[in-house]
Amino acid sequence: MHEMLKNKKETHNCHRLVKRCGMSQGLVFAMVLLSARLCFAWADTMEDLRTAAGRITSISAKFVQEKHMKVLVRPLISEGLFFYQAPDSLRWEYQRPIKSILITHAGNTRKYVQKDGKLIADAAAASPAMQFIITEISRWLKGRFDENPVFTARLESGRRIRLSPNYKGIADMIQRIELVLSDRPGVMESVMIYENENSYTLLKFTQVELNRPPAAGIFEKIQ
Amino acid sequence: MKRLCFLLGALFFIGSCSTLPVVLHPERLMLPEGPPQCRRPIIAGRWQFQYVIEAAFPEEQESVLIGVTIVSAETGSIHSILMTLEGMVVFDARYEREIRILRAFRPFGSERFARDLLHDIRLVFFKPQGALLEAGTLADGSCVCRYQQPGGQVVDIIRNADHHWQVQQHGHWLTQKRTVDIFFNDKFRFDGFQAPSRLKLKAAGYAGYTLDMELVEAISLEDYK
Repeated sequence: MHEMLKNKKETHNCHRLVKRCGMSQGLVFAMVLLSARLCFAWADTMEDLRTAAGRITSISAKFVQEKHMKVLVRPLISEGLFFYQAPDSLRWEYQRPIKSILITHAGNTRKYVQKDGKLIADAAAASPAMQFIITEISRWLKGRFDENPVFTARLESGRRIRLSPNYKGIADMIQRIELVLSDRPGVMESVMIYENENSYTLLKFTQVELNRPPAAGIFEKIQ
Repeated sequence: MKRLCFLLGALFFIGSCSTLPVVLHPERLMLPEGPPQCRRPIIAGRWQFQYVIEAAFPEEQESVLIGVTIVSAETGSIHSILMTLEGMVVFDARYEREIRILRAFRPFGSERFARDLLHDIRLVFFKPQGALLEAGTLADGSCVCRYQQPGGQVVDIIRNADHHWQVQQHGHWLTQKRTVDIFFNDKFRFDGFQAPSRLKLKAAGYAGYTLDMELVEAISLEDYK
């Protein structure tokens, strides 16, 4: 009962954030992207995913983000790096077409964007929307896909997880998400985020390393 | 009383006009396309441009976006898309005889924003609509060509001494409504067309905004027909 009430409150908060925050749609989308590498586990059930997530202490990977739209003659490409260290440290870094870094560490979230050749702090990191995202990320890092009240998670054959939005406000932004797991335990192969039938974002992860501690200071320094 | 109203009206009108820069050394307008200084690079064919955009709106945090603009010189059509770095489309609108908003979230959700943005893109890539009123130089030595727009607005196409271009649009009362600074570099020079490598758009007014756009990629769509 307590959990139900908590979920209801979180759902309400989510709606409020989507309504109130100008760029919150983008931040929710960022949350979804960040969730991309959060499938650590190998399993047939959600419970197995949670169990396997507990064995992961760190992840590092490269990613390529492809934006596909029917109107585009070829997809827009972005590239970057991802680092995670249990329990709640992460770094999501775009390297091109523009450098942008999101870091969460020791309960603080910071975001930097390159402007005129320098990385400038972005105030969006302190927004309620971003705090909401970080809470969600923390949940997914623990393999708790089916505990997010915003989406219904379904584990499908072919190591595929499908997330469907439960609320119209979210469905207006994201139609569905498909996560494809690699045959290597703890490795995410790809994520497809469908906005609608004409537009989706594909994330592909390469050079994934598990349980190898990332370089010192990677969650403190922005360079 | 009538005289006072007339005087006040006249003063207001004169005051409003004061922002329209005076054209010095006006040239005789021999050619319909105007003198050479009016001929900034305008688009030929169909193109897809990708920009990184710094966007600043009133009461909103500054944000960095990816922008895609698809423009056709033949049909005059414009398709403009804004998305977050993560790929979330926050604005998607098309102009082809009329504006059609396909998707839009705050702060890009208003019809006015769509109309203004598409109009600005038109100013950047196409020759201004309307008649060439005069051409000459401004007080700072810049070359200027002034066009009368449909609806009583005025557009100045200015080439500065450092060879960057500026488009100034003046509203009905001739107050400055928006400016677009247009920069070119050789990286985006193609056969028959040079794409703007950077655009700095500033819309005035209480709902004004600025967009600083850096070109990432320009693709000719002629090869994709």
